[in-house]
Amino acid sequence: MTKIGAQILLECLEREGVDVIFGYPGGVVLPIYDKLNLFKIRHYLVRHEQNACFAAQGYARSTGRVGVCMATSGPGATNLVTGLTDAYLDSIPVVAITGQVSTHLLGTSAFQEADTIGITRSCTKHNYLVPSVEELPAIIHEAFYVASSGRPGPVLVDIPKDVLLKAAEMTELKEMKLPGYQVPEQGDPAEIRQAIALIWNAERPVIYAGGGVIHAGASKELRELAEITGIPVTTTVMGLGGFPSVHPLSLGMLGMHGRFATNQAVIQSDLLISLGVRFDDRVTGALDRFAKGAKIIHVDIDPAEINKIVKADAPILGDVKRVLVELNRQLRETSKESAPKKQQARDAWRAQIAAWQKEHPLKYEQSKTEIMPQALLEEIVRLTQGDAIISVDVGQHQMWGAQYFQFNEPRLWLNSGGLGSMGFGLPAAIGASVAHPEKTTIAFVGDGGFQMSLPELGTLANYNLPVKVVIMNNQYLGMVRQWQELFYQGNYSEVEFPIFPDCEKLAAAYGIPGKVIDKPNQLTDALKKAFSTKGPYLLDVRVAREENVYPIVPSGGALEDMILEPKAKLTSAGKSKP
Amino acid sequence: MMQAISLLVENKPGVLARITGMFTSRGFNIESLTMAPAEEPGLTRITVLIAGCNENQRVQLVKQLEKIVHVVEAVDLSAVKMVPRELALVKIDVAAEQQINFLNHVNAIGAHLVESAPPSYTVELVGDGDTLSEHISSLKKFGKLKVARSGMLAMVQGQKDAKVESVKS
Repeated sequence: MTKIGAQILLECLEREGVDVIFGYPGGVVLPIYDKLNLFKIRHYLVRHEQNACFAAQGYARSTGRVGVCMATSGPGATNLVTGLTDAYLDSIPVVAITGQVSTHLLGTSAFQEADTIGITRSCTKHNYLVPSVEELPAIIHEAFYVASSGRPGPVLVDIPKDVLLKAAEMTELKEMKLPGYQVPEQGDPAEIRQAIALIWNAERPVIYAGGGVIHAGASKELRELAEITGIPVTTTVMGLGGFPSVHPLSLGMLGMHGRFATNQAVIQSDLLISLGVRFDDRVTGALDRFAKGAKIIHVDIDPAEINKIVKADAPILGDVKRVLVELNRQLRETSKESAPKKQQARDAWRAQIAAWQKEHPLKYEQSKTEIMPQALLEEIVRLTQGDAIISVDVGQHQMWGAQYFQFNEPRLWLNSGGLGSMGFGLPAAIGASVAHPEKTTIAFVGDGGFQMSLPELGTLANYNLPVKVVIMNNQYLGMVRQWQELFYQGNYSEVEFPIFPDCEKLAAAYGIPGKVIDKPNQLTDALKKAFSTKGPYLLDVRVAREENVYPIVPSGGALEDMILEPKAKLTSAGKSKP
Repeated sequence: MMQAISLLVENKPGVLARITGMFTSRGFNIESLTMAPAEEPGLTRITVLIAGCNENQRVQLVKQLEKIVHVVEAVDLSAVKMVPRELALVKIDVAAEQQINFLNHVNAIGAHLVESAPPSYTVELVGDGDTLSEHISSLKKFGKLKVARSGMLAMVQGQKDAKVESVKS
């Protein structure tokens, strides 16, 4: 039976197991929207295409499956660009479907024409302009394979309107021919043996785990590695949840806002077991002084990451999970004989780290009059007990989140780690909530990022999604203000938002419950109310305005240059607007 | 100092743009680029010449190029033995009294006369880039030149699979 391209597309999506699309209609994708009701796929209509891509990411990040977004040609496609770039930097599997003007109009500056393939070439893992309806099934299948295999990433499929309208036969899947695309799997046994020797010979080892552990589904294997060897684990902001926060070997996040003990452990380590990480500048600080005494084991599925920033002594190319399974097997086999060799040194090492932790825990000054941001985070942790999806924006609240929130499972912490896109938190929470309607999903955002994603309150209300929007509101771009305070002599240039909507009225305008609080004694009740209310909730928490995130490694500094606490804090007077 | 990278790619729409994008996004300017069908149908061989790219940068560039879905193989030719060749067509107007000298010189440098319409001549030169440059320079004394060069082609010497090495380095 012949069908038009739009139907074939939707059938292909179903064949790939797609149950949800986040999208926004427009001229050239109308043939798809016209056929949507013939399929089981649920479409969520967002308020801006950028948020369709972020929502698809929220779906993908919280499930590990490919998230799908859809937009029309021209402005629809260009609005996806930030979301795609974000997915590219964090290796999130997303397939974006865009409409394009009809083939005969390509390159004529037709209405709503943009060179989507050209524009998205550098922010996707791969992209396709579909030349004919006959090629559509193979391209869709390939797109999902490329997005989800190896190092995952976003793939865009651009489909001209005439292709969507042309009738053709739906074809059976043929074997893919991708001679240039190889996915490394098992690590090289010789390289693994080399790593085993390094592990047993180390006196001050640290495991440094990143987003690759979560993408590979290797949390269990990571935990086994830590427990077999007794080696403490630090994670990157992308790796949070890959190792249980409450585990005695957990060191939390390292890097620019890492704890003192964690960064000390990395600085003084003699072996860094690096798993699915890319030695980002926010992690390493000044490279010439990063873990100078450490040998490096680096496991990654992307050959281009190995030796990119730091030369590895034992590079292992492969899927982190498969490599860890083999590594752990060999470690178990050799443990009886090899573990006692360095036992004493390693006990001393863990004791040293514990002493550092005791010496410089995370701390902040409590207040009875103002809600301290950290107190807000601690209360969320206490009330959720780590059993909630938390989707954050970018800035101070994100870094406090990375320090204070506790995750005992992967895929509960959603954040824009690489690109650092403000406006990510709320739409990503929408995507996660659609995938996990039974779970409490918190969009924990700053007042700046919230205002970038505010229209999505409409989507929340529309679908009555149980997303609790908690705004950590200091009426500043908090992290920018912090940098201006610490590194730009307190020159607060264009960083304040004195006007912010009354969130009780704003929520009411969307027909959802909302509350504004500013007193510490309101905090517990307000959070409990937000979390126990069915459906969406908007909670605006007015916090101490000029609190800073500590520790902080100054930009360009080394980890050892971290600033632990405020030096006699300047008062607002004289540096802020009157 | 020039460095060369050889690529074997699937001949798919946009593949050249993806490759050149990989160079430009890392701040490298392409000095020459040749692209034509390779031994198997559907495959194209590309040779790219760049300047000022150190070994670490080249290793990273090759790995990133290999990540492009349609790139089957990328080899840093600076790291292997190779045979470089380039073709040039040089058109020149030669004064009547110089014509005998000119034709003798063309023979002496191993060039071929491919068009002769006195006073205009076109000669074809084949060789490695440096030799070509020298020979082209030597023709200048006979008149004003128009030069079309193909850019470098290269073939890896011997049978060793250079690809494996480039991935592991």
